[in-house]
Amino acid sequence: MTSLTLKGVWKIYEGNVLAVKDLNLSIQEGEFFALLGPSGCGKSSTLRMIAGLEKITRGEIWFDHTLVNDLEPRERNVAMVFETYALYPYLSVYENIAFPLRIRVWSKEKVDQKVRWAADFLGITELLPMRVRGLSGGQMQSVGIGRAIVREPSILLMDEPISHLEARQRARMREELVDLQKRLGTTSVYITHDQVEAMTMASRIAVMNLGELQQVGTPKEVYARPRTEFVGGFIGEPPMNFADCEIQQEDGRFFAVSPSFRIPLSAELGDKLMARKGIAKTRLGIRPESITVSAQPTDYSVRGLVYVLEPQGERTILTTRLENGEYFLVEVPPDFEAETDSVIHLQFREPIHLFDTASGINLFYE
Amino acid sequence: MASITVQNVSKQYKGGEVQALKDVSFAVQDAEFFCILGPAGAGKTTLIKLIAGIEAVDAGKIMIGDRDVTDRLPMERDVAVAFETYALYPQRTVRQNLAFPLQAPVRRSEWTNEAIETRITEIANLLGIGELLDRYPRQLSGGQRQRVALGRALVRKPKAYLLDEPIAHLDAKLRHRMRGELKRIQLEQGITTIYTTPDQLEALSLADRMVVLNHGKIEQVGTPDEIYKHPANIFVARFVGDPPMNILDASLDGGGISLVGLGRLPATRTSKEILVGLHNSPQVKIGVRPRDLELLDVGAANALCQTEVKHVQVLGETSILTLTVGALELRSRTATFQAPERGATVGLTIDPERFHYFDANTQRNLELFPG
Repeated sequence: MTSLTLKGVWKIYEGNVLAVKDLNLSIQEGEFFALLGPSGCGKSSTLRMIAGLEKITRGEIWFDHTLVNDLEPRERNVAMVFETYALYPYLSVYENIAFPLRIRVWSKEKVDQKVRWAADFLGITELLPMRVRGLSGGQMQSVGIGRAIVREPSILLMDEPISHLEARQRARMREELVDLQKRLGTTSVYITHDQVEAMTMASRIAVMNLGELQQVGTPKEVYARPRTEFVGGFIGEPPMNFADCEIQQEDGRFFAVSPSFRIPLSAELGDKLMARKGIAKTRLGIRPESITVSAQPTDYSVRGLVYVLEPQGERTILTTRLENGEYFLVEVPPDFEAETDSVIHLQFREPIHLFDTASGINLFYE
Repeated sequence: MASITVQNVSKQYKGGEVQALKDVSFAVQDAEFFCILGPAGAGKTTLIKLIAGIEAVDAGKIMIGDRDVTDRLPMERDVAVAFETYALYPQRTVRQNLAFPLQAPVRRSEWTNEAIETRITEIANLLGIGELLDRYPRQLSGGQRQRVALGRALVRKPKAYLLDEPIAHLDAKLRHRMRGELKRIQLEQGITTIYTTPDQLEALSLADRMVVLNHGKIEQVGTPDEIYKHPANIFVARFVGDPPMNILDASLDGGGISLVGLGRLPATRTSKEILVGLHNSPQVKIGVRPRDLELLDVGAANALCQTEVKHVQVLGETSILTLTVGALELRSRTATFQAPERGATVGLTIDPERFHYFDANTQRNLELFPG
């Protein structure tokens, strides 16, 4: 079991292309940790620096109490699982799994013992004599994992290992990988652009964007208390709604005001705004499930038009068009019905998130 | 604008080795948004090609409006097609690609240069590719190319749009937005649309009516609501809805419903009606949607059984639980604030009014196909 620490890590590619900016992460031993972000966010560069496949421009990477900056990939004892299995199609499953051990001066018996342990661990013993060519996608991924764990690495790195699988198979593999990691106990870093994967698999998530760390937290934390507007919009499906608004005070009460709405804020948010005087303009974020709708207006309800209604079985997603042309998504019960272009009234319920309009940082993130 | 009728259509490939479609029939009404839902290899793309006339049927008939077009050339059918594999002209700009369908000799009289320019701008803005008009396909990302391909189909106002997984390569956020825009465009223009997808959420979201296709055969045709609430068989029940419906072995008798591995619940009017229709054996399969499992305190008196929480997947407000009862594994969809911890033991019950009944052998829905 190995802990992993990144201290002020930078990666700048030739031509002054900034890939990773001053990244600090502390991943505990045995943890299933996800690096989440869109393409170009720096997650792959980070993974490659941990593996030693990419030089660090500045900063330090520690495995437990060892600084690994200058260690070769093979000296770090990390294993990688890729989206493309990178297997040898004409070799048997056995030979593919044994491959990483062949560079070691081990006895045949010891190699055999390790290969059989890995195959047994993954439940693919019966595949050992078969050629890789002809296996299903799921089976190939198991072989790829077998090859990664056979060396008993100190850290397991997974680079979008299931993103190409079909939806149902992906859902199953998510659970299988979590189980596997739990049984194995190896510190694991999992890279993905899919927020559902990160949310459902990882004990903690680092959300990255444009080379910068946005937030580190448990799935519940990043969902409930996004540190930045980016995190608010990236985590959760359908995505959070945003609108520019002004903060106004009237009779000791705070309101968020835009051309489309004027909504009262709770005393709790009001107290926080009091404590930070001088906030005039802000960016409001509200999740689709924090909005309710009614046919008749209510106090402070927001007028909108029904733009699109999307029933999805378990729930229905309603896209509304507010007065000044903003689109707001609302999660409504599955039996909800409304005519297209009819008038509807929205009630905003807290949690309401307020972000700095310039920096995008949550005004009240602690 | 036109209805589209597919009548007893079959199609084989490789000299009969691969049966892509088997005796497929359905009717799409004028101005309808019709989805073809099915897993990979179901025959979705084949159907689009046959309706478009890009490939010929082996047997059966295809009608557009009241005209039999089975033996007609693609251009005589007046449909616009977008494929998942973009098929853009690499040596033409986005603008030229979009203009192409409007510049065909047969349409010269309909479309002036100004009208073409206006229409291209309109469609490009709707799809968020307005700034890309002067680029070449090679300078675009996969998602951008796919939107150009979609735009090239939508730019014209044909009798019907045939869209084959047109937004599969967009990222989740953009896909959601495009889905909304597509539904709007279709609604406003009222052009009959056939849309294929392997994604059940997409089909439920978009379709007025849909067909579920599997291995070249129709499993069910209906509105999204009908298909979700009354799936014709276990395949449809598990393919539509997320996570998939739980399927349990059970047997019925006059007094109750015995769920294998879980316990016994009192009979309902439906279960008694179903029992009457069962001739030989009281064995059935019972389906329960994950959101219909009720979690109770451990040891609660009204619990059907106790269950262990094997996985908790937090999606936000909603969490997906994997529950085990002995060797049985069940999925539950529950509010995150009520979700128990991984490893916890909790009570479980199900309202038998929520059950879906399937024939243990044919797997067909016993309420839709009694006896």
